[in-house]
Amino acid sequence: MALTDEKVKTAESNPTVSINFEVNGVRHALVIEPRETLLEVLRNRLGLMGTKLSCDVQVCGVCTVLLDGMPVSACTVLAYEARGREVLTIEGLAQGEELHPIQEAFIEGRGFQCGFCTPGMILATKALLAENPDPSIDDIKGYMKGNLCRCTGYRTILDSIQIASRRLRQERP
Amino acid sequence: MEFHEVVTILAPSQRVWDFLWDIEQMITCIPGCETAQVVEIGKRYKAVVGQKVGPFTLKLPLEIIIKERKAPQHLVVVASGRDNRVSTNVTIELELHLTDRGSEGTEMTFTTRMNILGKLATLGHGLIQRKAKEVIAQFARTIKQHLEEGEHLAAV
Amino acid sequence: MQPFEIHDVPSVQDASNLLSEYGDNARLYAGGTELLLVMKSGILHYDHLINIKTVPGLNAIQYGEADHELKIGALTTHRQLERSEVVQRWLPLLAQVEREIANVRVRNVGTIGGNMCFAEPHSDPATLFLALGAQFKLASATMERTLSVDEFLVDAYEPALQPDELLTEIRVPLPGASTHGGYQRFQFHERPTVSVAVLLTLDDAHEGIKEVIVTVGCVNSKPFRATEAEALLGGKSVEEAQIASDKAGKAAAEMADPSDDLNGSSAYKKQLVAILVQRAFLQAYTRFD
Repeated sequence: MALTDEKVKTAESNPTVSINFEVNGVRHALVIEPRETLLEVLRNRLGLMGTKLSCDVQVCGVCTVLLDGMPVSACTVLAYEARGREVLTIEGLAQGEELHPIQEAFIEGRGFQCGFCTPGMILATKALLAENPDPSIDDIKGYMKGNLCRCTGYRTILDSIQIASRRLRQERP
Repeated sequence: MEFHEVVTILAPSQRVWDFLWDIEQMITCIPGCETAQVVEIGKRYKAVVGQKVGPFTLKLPLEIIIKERKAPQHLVVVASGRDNRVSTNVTIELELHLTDRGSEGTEMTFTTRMNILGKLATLGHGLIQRKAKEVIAQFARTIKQHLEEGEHLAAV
Repeated sequence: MQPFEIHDVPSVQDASNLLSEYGDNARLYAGGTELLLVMKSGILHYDHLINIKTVPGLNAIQYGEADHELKIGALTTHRQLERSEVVQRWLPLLAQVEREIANVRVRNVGTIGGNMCFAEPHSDPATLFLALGAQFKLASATMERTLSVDEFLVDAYEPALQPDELLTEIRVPLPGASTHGGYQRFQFHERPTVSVAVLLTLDDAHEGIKEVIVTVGCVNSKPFRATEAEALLGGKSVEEAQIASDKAGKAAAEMADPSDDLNGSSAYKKQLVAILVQRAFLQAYTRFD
């Protein structure tokens, strides 16, 4: 089910709605159709391709974005729900050339191969560590249960998350 | 999935058998049957059957093939179709057997084997199964009703 | 999805009125974690989604001291329930069940009310609510009423809601001090295959079973009380019950009517029921000091 411009083409008679929201710190004002998902708007209207489409039924996690800090499945959340709120995608983590500590942790821990699940993994990790800065392995597994990877076998992802946890705790005063 | 239905009809087995080939009558007996036509008499038919399954609706254009036929006792029919709106394929194999029970009439047994694939199957397998059982049971009852009314009228 | 309009409503009354106005063309929309899936797949479509997330006061979790119960707003998300201090204090079993649902993303968005109203047969909380004797509060523009779990869940995807009615609150009576619960589930695809809840009430010496409630979910069109299993365990000593738990599990399995599907064959699901009933019973027992 490819996302093309076709899917977001607006017919004259279709209902539309105006939404204002923030993505990666940038404000957007868009006129969209209520039926557009957050994923469709991020990719097709805003050109942010880091958030992926895979299962389309909210079970795989590659479409994970943070909505007011909360991980959600962008494929099954209407863009309408982002009105007046803040969205964080993978593109919003690095500061210019400087990678986010979690991104560095995933490099150090070799937490990816093809990289397709990685944006979702990293954002879910960010949300986890914000809520629980020193999670046990079971805490991590429980939280990350809904992010699937077909390449790594998960061991290196777990390592990367633990590295990220240490890095972030060191950075805090 | 496979299920059985038995009904005893107060009518001779030959009359029951002949009734099965009467397309006009059968349309009224199959629950949800909107249209039916003969493609090749005794061999192939087409029908459109619509049913509500919970909050979902299923509308199936069916290709019906007579697989086996041994008048006036045994009939195997295969009906298959796809509802594109809900991307669901249904295949039903219906085995009918008529047994003469003398003064008690004709015993008609239905053995239904059903296969469902697609979106509605994932969502409502159990639901569809129960609906199918209901439909077959209603089908059997309606055939019985029509034939027995017919017999009654014939006797008058 | 096909085009639709979203209507933000400020009150239960407004929601009810819109439901009456649009009839079959409208549906209540909360988290959308079930609704949007069926709409995306094209199986169902509604021209009007009535957004009840804008109705204030429907997502509170409160301990009701007067009736020793939990009052849970229908718009409470699974994640809120999982992490609520009130739930963890008064009914940790519910927090345990809520934590198992789907994944964290679904739990952040999906609501307990939505879960009940979609009436998907594979529901974890429904199995537990049945065991606890939860009550569902419904409201429309003109009236209010209360239903038990069994009355509310009529059939798969069929709640007992009138066309203009909303589920506003779930009231859960809290088990007494001599009652503990166990919950077991099995899942290997997107939905749980089997779920079992057991509530065990023992006598003061913790040697005899005063009451036992066994509910089984996901295998029939709605969760059911495994009364045959309860009969084999109730009134027995703990030792006798442990010996009988194997038979009780099988009795519960016989009451199930599962279909063969991708979650498992009918025989396999029945086997799971039998085993999970035993495990849930043991789990409940080990929770007594």
